[in-house]
Amino acid sequence: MRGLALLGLLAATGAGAQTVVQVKQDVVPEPSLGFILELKMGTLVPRVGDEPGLSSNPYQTIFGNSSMIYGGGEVAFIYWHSYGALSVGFGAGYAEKYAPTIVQSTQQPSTSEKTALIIFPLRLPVGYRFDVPWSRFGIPFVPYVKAALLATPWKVTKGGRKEIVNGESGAGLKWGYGFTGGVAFVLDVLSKQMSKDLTNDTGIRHSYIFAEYNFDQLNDFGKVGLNLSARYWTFGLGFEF
Amino acid sequence: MPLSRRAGLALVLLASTVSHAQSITLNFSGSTLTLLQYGPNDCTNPVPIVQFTASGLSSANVCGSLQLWVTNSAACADAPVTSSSDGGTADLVIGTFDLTTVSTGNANSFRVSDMPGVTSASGGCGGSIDVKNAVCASVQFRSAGVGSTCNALTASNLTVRYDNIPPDPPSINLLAQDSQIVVQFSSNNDPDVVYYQVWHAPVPANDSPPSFVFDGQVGSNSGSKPIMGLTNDQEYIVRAYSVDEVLNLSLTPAEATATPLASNGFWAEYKDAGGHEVGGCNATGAAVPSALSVLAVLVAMFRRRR
Repeated sequence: MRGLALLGLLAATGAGAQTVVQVKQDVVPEPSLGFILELKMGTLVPRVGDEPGLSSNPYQTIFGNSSMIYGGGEVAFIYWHSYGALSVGFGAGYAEKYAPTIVQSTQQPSTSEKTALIIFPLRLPVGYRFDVPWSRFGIPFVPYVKAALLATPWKVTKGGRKEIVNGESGAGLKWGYGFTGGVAFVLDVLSKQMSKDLTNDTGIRHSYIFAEYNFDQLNDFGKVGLNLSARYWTFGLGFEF
Repeated sequence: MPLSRRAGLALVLLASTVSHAQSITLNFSGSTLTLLQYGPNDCTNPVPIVQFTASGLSSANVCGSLQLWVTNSAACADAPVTSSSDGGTADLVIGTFDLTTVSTGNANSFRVSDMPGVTSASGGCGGSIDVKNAVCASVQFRSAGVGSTCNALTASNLTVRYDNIPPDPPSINLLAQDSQIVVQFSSNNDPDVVYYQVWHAPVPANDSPPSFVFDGQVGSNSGSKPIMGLTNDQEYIVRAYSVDEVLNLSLTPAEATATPLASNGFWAEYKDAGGHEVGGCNATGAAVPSALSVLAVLVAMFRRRR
């Protein structure tokens, strides 16, 4: 394209006999392998009330409509990079929600005791990043999708200790699956010199911010029990090495 | 430079080096501590023997005896004070040594009650006192070599404390919970307090005195202590005492009452609503291995297609 433009310019100015300087774009090919590190935050409301047979939604009873605060990270290995990139990774997070217990005699919130739902979401995602617009045309948006196997240890505390009701422990592990769709904004576009410096100094090839929507189905693949499924947004910062 | 001058210069240098090498160190026998603290239960007990070690001091530069003493003054002087400097007590001399013949030795034994500041004038062992005494050592020596003026070399790295002042009681706040009461402690700003003792008793229905149960002690930095296994809807009285570093107990306790109440956390609410979850990690059946297998097959298929 630039060559054509130069030729046009050349013809227009009639300077055919002069030396032509051809400008070449500084294209650095993307390596086929790499790593991704992401840090993310968000809020989520587990769909506890979706469990069949519940007379009420205990999450709402205790915590109201308030969300759990989620924070986590994910590392991924890029094992194919050509028309986009395929990766496999491991993610870990933490989310908690505290609220007063309910005094049985008055059915009012306690003023001196709290209960908490604490979850540690773990995921094994396989992801595809469509980075062709960025790598070939410099458009700094990279959409991506992921599918993941989920495992979430969970715990309920009351008065600072694990809550036990009739000998049944308020802790366990839920399995499930999840899908994620998001888009990353490549920060390199803001300052190419800073981006180069970052690559030379730390090995970080690209950095980006992202927003993604998560569809997590955490109910032991349909088994009736505590349902920790959630639909939620996360936002974060990512680095590609 | 002539050889004689070089030799003289070397001697001067040597002398200056030697003049910086003198020292006296003190330690308590069998202990690496430099501060020993005693309370009323220890007042008549002997303090561990004070030992000294002199270095670089000999007949060549010493011009007096080494003296060891215990003082209630703010700092060690060049020599023990025999007049009153601490409310009527002279320093307690615990040894005099000739460093031309010995370089190490043990001081005389002394008891806590012998120390300056722990006197009958101040009430002795039973007095309400908190005194810190320094163990001092001093010797006159010629720092600049033969013929120079004698200066004092002192050591004062050991301290003996006698504390007979009870700490203030803590400030407590009770959190009444399900079958338990959490005792929260607030600092009373007494740095000597090392832990709190907690007691509880059901409030009696009649005028009989409460029957307290000892719940143990908790470090002053821990902030709170739960008293578990209590009966809901029963009012309890809780007492907490401060205990300092030498086991002085606060004269009065902090005292408060609370009534534990049965309550539901999220797990109890879930079960009350008819939740099927039973907890634990055994609820997955064969689904997880199956899902993992599918994932592995998908990845393998993709790689083969490449």
